[in-house]
Amino acid sequence: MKLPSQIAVPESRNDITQEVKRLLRAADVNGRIPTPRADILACAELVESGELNLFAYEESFRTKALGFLHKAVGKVFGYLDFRAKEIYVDPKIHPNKRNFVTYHEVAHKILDWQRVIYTQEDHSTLSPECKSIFESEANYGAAEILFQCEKFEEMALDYNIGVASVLELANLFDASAHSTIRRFVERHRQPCLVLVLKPTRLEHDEGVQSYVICYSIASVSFLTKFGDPFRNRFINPGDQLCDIVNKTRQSDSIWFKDINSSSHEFTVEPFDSGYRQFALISPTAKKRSRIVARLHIDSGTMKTAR
Amino acid sequence: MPSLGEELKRLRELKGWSLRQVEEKTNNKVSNSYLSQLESGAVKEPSPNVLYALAKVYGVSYPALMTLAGYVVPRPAGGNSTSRMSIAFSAMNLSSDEEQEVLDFVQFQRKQKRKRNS
Repeated sequence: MKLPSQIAVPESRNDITQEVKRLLRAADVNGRIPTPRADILACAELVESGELNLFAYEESFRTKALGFLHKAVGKVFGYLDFRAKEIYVDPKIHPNKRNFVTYHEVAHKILDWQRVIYTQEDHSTLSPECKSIFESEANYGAAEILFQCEKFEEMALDYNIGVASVLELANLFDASAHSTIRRFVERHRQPCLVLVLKPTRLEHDEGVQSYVICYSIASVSFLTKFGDPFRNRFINPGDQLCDIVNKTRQSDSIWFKDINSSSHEFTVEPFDSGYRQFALISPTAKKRSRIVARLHIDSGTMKTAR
Repeated sequence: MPSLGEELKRLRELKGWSLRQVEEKTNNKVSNSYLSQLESGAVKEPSPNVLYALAKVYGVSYPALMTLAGYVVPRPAGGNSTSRMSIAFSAMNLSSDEEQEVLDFVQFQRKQKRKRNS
């Protein structure tokens, strides 16, 4: 289960979490959700630059190939200008993703070992390996700011494993479904797994799709108990999982053998965020109701908090 | 130029510290076994935050250690500014030419703002 570099967990995660906690305290976040963006930016001493005026630039340099800058800028989600203490976030990206990109840039700023290197005034640059590490660290830091370190896990304990829970938490934390489902699974105490899927170009009868597994993320307890059951990168019609995702199968159950060869039933919930397709896989049995978790006694009668 | 491992060993021996003492001085960020692997060259590319912690306890330049680790490299010919590293991008498949173009634009924007503010 190798993670692509952009979502890899960096070796420096403990130091990153420490820096993020310092920032959250300084911004007096104190458990407020969603994370107060303006307070975070103020504490990181950063301002947003607003829209880029590409026209003025192209007017000044008429010899440059028009459109090249537009194409280049179109690939940029955001950037941090250390000297100007400004961040730019592409206004065209989805509002839920804006927070992640903003906090990605904030993370570059608050990690001392990155700031020192970025603000060096000399004729050197970063190696591709170093860029990759710094980007992974900024992604990790962004998720820590967005989900306020352990705050998300504490809240997620009250929820069943399921897409509905993920979407509600995404809404509460003002985060994308993509970043929330990843966080939900990687930090969950129960065995669960999410597959990030992309349809292939293979055409099958009745519009049935094959998928490539872009990557998968599992909870620690899943990995410990089941290892990595998806060794193939592709899922094709006829595979149980593919049939569930294509909704051509009556049952949404799938069985995995644990490391002791005992079979366990799991439920697959396919989900399309509009950008990506996911399959959330969680144990069928022992589902705990969120309502049960929130029962409390009030004046001798039992009420539900939500 | 010494290797990163040789330099780290030299710096520690200059201070007369044991591997375990360095571990304590870095608040356990760098374990003695990891530092031993670094010094022997078994680990060649430590995480930058580890180099930052070591630079602080040894009182030496962190960018210099990053250079020895190969994380900071000379800019390719054609880079005409001394401040290009002060931008951190979040981008998808940006070629070096495109990155250069965006960097030029950011510099232009800085100048425009300075003009407006002066």
